[in-house]
Amino acid sequence: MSGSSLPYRLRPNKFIDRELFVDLINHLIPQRGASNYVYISMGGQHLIDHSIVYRRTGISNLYSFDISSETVKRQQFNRPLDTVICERLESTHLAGSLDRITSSFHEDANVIVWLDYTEPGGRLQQLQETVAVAKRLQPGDVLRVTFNANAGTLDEGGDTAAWKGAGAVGPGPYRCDRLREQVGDYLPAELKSIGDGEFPSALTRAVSLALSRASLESGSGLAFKPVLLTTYKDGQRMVTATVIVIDDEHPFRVDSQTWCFLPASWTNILEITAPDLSARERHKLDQELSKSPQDIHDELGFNLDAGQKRSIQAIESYRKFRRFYPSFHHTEA
Amino acid sequence: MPDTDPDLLFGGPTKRFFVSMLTRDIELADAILDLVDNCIDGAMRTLADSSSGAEPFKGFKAHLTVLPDRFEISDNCGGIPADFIDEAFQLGRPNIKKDGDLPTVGMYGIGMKRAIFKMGKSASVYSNSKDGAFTVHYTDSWLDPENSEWDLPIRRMGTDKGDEGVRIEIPTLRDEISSRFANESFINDLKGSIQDHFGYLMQKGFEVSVNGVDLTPNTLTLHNAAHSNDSGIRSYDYHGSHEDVDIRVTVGFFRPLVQEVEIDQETNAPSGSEVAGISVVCNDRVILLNDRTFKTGWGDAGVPRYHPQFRAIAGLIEFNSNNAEKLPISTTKRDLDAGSDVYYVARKAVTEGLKIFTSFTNRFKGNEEEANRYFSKSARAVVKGGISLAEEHGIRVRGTTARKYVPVLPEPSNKAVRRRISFIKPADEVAAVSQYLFDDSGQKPAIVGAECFERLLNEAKK
Repeated sequence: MSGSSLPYRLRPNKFIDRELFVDLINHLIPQRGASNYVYISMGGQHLIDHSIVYRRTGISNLYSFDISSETVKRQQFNRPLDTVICERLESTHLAGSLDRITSSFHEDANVIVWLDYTEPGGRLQQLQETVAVAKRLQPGDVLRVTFNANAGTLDEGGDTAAWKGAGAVGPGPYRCDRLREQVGDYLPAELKSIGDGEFPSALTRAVSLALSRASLESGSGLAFKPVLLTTYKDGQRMVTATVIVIDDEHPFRVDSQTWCFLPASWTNILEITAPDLSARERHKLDQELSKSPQDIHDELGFNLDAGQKRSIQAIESYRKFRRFYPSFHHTEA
Repeated sequence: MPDTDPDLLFGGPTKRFFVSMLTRDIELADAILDLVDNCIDGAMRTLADSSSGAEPFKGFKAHLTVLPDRFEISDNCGGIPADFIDEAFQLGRPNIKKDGDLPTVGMYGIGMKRAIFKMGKSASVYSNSKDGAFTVHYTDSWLDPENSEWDLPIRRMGTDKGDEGVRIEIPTLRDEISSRFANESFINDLKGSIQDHFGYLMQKGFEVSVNGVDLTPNTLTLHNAAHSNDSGIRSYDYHGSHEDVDIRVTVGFFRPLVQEVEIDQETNAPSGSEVAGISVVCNDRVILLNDRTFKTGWGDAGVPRYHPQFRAIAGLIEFNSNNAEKLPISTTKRDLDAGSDVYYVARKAVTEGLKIFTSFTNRFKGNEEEANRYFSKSARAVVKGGISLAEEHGIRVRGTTARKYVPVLPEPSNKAVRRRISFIKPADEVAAVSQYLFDDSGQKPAIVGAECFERLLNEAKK
């Protein structure tokens, strides 16, 4: 899988997405304190998420799981703390293990769970696992789910023959039929077409329905509030929904000046597009940020992306995500 | 309650039985579907003999408002006629033939009241028909289970010039109902149920909206190549009758055959909204949706039990009659009376159809790609109203006036008997073999297994 024109190893959009999440955690946890949270996610072989969460938020109750015992061995080696628990576990068993995992740190702790599904296959199972985890959450908990939102996985890469061969009236209805075949009742009943660029919002609407179902089936009417909805494309397009469980004692209360990414609805998704900038370009943009994107573009005298329109969008995007922008340099260790 | 005669016991019902107990026998969504059914019965009465064309219900609408603080359903389907009023508000209909020769399904006269009792702390029913308008209020004291008062005051208002129809308002909901109506997933499932259950009536022009969203019908379409003497993907089609009931059965493929990878996924995460299976429609209402059990012939008469391998097979059994009593429907209007003779006739046909298509998937097992090439030579046709193979090209069923069309489906080019090999291995080991064979540890297990077999087969043939 290629990272298109962007350096794959850096994946700046994914980096920004994760930075936003960590920033959100920092907004959420001060009231109870970092020691009262357990962070749970599939850490990957390097446990990068866990390391960043520990360094940036102070949460030391960290749990990682993976289906491969080889990966778990490597995670053990890469633990940022000796107390990090790395286990072999299939994501389908996470919901049933939540109480055990939490109690191995601190029984009354809140959890922050990130289900990072990268594969396009098995979307129904992914939504069902999301429901299973969500209905076991408690007020104050945080749930983050990432899905593959690459439209090519629904329409055979945009092949016209695919939708015509299936007797669909157009590519949008075909994508919608395919996704409904995959996820069934998790798709809004009235949705009949998924237009170009609408796949991420179809998936966030599916997550919204999944969480409503979890609320119904929780027996305690859990209220899930979306606090960060993002999409980006480094190689495959991904979409991520982050929600918190709120009640009267656990309201979502953050400074809207410093946290300006709160979505207005389940389809109000933040598009993360980080332009690929040199250090000198970034420095120039930092100096000129008080000017309009058009003026900055004119002053630069060249395009930062393909064409003027996209170049101006890139400047706007940089302005929005500047605080979270990656800064990678080669170092000898 | 009479207690004057010591030799007599009161054998009648209590208010509690109706307002608290009977309501537990029905799911909330089904109770609301009963109200939509009443709208449609009203449209059928209004149309009476004048129903014709492809969209006889065009112009008839039902609007539902389903909010945490109130429920309302209103229609323009003719209202409650004067001679129906008494029975409309009684609990149970004394005369089930009231609709004469109309294909209504409301036989037991319980749906509207049960829905009101289930949802509301109070309610009002407003009707405007050509005979005049009236309002009936269910007050919170009338709905009190301890209250033994049964009389309902009615306010008659002469003829109203507005739409002729019924409006049921429930301004105060029971607490548990209010929380369900606040749930997005419940509302979405309700919309889906209406699209599924009334899809064929909506196909005929009936309109339904929920909270301002116009719903669109869900109806079954099957792959059919144009008729010819050559083999091709076509449906099994049966058309007959039993007593006063017209019977149609159509079975076929609604999608190309499933590949093994999909079967694995389906086994891991069964979908609650699976389209495969047999649906039963009575007078255009779906009373059984996508059934994959013994009830519709799976696992009987040579038909295998349902398995994800058969995920491309679907069918429709249609019953139509102006005599609702003859239809195989249970009291809830949305359940099948599978023990009735008329249903046995249809079931015999559906098992015959299922056998043809399950055998086809067996013949092409492991060779689905070849089978699916034939699907590109077919187009999807709406089953109800769009497929008439039995009448046009069918043969007569011996001893009856029924006709059936038995499709000639394609055969695999390699007719050698095929066998499935399956085995389970640790994921790490599959990844290691995948790496060895493909220089990529992430190939799908089925592909890794097949490559192992191919290599050894080549060795064995040397």
